[in-house]
Amino acid sequence: MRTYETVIVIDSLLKPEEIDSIINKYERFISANGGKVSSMDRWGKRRLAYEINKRQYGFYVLIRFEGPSAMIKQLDREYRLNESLLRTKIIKLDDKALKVLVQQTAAAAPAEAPAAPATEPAATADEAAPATT
Amino acid sequence: MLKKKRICRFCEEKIEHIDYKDEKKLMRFTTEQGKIIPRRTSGTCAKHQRLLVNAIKVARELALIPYVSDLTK
Repeated sequence: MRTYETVIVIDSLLKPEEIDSIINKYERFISANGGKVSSMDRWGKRRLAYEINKRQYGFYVLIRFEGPSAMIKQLDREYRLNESLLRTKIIKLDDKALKVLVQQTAAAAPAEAPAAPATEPAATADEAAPATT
Repeated sequence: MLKKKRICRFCEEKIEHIDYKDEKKLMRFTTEQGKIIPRRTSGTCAKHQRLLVNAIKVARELALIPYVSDLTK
């Protein structure tokens, strides 16, 4: 099992429900194929640095997960079959990246609350933001 | 913006990993046109320049930072 992180850029012109269903789809895909989603971060709608398929904006989602290496190929294939994804990236986190990540989460956790509840309000806040815009 | 001084900023701060998601930091190592600033100008050491370049290229792929910014807009 290795730790990976994946960023997907979804077409922001889709309905919020459709975006949610896409995110859920991949979350379930990871879980169903022997992986474990450790955190998910919705960056929300962002301006793209350059136009992709005539789109100026994209909905960014970052998912960190642990999983078997064999699953990555399948996940990448699933990504490529989906035309509403503008860009995708799967990156294996090396030791140094993981170290930084641990430091970041350690720094963020005491500022708000103990480790477990800290991730929960953040996730719901992110979900609420795109709904209002 | 960047002084011609041979001190690697990343070595100074003891940074071992450069995150492709931090587009503001990466943008500081690109010109206004979006080109990567060379080592001889920024003073970055070889090791960190390599990490930096990889991070910039990943960020470009994800449209976080531009390949080229159009100055004629």
